[in-house]
Amino acid sequence: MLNFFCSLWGDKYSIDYVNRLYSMIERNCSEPFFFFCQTDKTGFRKEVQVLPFLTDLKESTPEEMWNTDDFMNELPRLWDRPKLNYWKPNGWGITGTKIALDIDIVIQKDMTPIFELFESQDKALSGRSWWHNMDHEALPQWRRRYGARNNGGFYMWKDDQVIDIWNDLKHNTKYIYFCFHGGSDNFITTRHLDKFNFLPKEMYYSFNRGCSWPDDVHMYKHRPDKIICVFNTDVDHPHHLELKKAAEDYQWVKEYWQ
Amino acid sequence: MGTRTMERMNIPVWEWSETLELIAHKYPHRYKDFAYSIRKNQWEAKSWLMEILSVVNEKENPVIWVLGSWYGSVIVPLIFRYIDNVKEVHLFDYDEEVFEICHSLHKKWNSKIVRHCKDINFEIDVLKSYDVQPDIVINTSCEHMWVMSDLLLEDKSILYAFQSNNFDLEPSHINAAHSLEKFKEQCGLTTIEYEGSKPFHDIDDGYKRWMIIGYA
Repeated sequence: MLNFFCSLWGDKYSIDYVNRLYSMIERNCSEPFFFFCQTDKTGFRKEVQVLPFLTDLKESTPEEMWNTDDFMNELPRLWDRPKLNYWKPNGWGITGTKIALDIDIVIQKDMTPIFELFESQDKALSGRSWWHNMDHEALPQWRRRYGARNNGGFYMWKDDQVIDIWNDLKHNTKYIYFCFHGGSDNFITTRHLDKFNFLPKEMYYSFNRGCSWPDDVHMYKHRPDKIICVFNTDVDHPHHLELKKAAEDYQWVKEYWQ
Repeated sequence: MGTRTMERMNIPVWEWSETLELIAHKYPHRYKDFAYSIRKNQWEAKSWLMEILSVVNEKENPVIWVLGSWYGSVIVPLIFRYIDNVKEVHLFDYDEEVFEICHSLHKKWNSKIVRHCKDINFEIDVLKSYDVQPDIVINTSCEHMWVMSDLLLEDKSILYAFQSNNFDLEPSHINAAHSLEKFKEQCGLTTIEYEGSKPFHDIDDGYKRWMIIGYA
């Protein structure tokens, strides 16, 4: 049995994103699965099992996070703290193989190759920002800024593969929040990348940034052979389209995202 | 030693030639970073610190920790220039590549240098139980780190020399101090021997570098 997780908080995204994510998984996952959403919202389709925000990590619920006075760049430091709860072993009493997805993605085709890849090796899997300029990633400044190399739109793991992540979070909570103000991907890249293999670029791309630097970084381009397309946006790039807007403007996005 | 001119130079910059070749051949992606480490403002910051520290310091044969040492391009030669009979210099940085460059750069003093590839932000508690405790702790990059008040060690005779700045436009400056008073709070020193500020950049654009030297 597979266990899919996602999280929804705040006002940026509606429950539609969660319901549609469920639909896309249902269409593209031939394995039996449960679908969980960590949220304080209601009104989801009946197959979505709602989970409360865990409170093991201090100031990690959305409310606590936004009430903190430690902001950087107008966001709480490590602004996506609720996603750290995924790494709690047996979190919410759930065991087995786990997959965490961002809610602003589309699943384009059968996910079986991803599951086969996971079973064929020993590590957890993570998305990878293959579209990054790899020359930039190699620069000392990238490391000094705790820059991310993985992309947290997709993770797949079994608890025993990532137990050190939770131990680190429990032991170093305040330092982790303080350092990784850019988000949980920066934390995973800097402290725990050795626990992951990457989802290959043949399966994963970004609507706004492309697939593979330097040759295939065209934005807004449909790549039907890939399995997952993420819609990560950057405030420094106002031309980046969020998923809902992309679905209004691009028929192929609309067809997947339902 | 070569000539009288060379003898009079505080820093044997001709020894950098080999290191620059190493960077060019093995670490070309670091050449700009290394160049930044020897900019005029780096010389001003480090020599300001060492000039004051050498007056305040009363310890002989000191063990010196340098937190966030980077290449140590400027601070290491100045330590050996300004402090007599240094026993050991412990360099702490989380960037593995800097240490090979550092090893080449400071060949002359390598027998007295101990390098620790550690991220200070995750060593705050561990440093207190290190085998070799310091007489002097230098941190010229507090803006990259958790507050130094949590790092202060038990021995009250340890001399601390800290620098930070208010340049918060740089994303890696996760703890920029917006005033000297704020920086003093972050450091938690009870006896301050020196405090001051200087322009952070070569031109005074309002950004400041802060310095505090004193005891816990």
